Amino acid sequence: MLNFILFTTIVAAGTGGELCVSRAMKNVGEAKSFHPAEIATVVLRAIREPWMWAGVAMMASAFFALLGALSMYNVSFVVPVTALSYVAGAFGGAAFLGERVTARRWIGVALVTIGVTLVFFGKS
Amino acid sequence: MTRQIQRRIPKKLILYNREVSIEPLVDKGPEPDRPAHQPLHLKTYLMILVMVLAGPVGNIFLGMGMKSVSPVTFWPPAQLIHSGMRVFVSLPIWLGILSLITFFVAYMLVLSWADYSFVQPVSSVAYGVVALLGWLVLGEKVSALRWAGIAVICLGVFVVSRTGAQTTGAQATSRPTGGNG
Repeated sequence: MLNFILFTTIVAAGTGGELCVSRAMKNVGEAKSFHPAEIATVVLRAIREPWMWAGVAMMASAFFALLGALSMYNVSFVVPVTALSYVAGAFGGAAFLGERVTARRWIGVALVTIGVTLVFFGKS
Repeated sequence: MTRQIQRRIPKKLILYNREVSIEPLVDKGPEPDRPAHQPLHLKTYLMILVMVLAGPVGNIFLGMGMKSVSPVTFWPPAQLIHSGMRVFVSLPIWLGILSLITFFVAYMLVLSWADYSFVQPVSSVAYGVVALLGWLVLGEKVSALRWAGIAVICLGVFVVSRTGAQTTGAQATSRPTGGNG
């Protein structure tokens, strides 16, 4: 049960956090140069975005869940399982961002799922 | 002589990368024609190398740190705080965080030079690297089935990334310069 919660948090909060951050950054706008002043402006604008804070909070939860999972399982087991975020990303993109997920992409998602399943059953 | 070299290099890039796009490998700067293809190309591959090494190394360090702290008890909150403190003062954990920050910076830099659809399949190599390091450094037993699973995951990531990078709104006919990833 605990491992289910941990892996779900890693995948869901990780992907959700990335979605929030990318949404925040779309509101902030792109950095036009790498000048320190320009970067400072972008950072200042970014920290005033509520989406940014939501994203950072979710990514932090995902990180702590990752630490929790690593305390119990091997790295070579935990990291491949986090590839499920591609699956979550496809569903999330389709559901929340209105992206059209092509047949080919679903095939890729299915392959990732099969791979993770193999890793799961290959648990030694 | 120099002109010849300049003409040869992009051609090679097309050959190497013919089905994706030449874009990831050429200069994304404001002056695309300036003769700087080679250094940028090298820089991109160097950063990708940093990416696929720093990420797995970071995870290995985190794993090492958490194994040295374990068993982590989650439930009584006092115990959790106690475990948290031990994690906080663990050197491998901080080395791992440092590695992951390096990975993140390299990832951002690469994404600013190359298409996401190019970076994504390449970075899936990291799943293999992490298993390899886990086996070599941490002495984890990686079963054949698990290796097969990792290979299938890499294949899946590859297939995902070979689909169009943008599916919302108008079909992106012009090659995005990274902002749409």
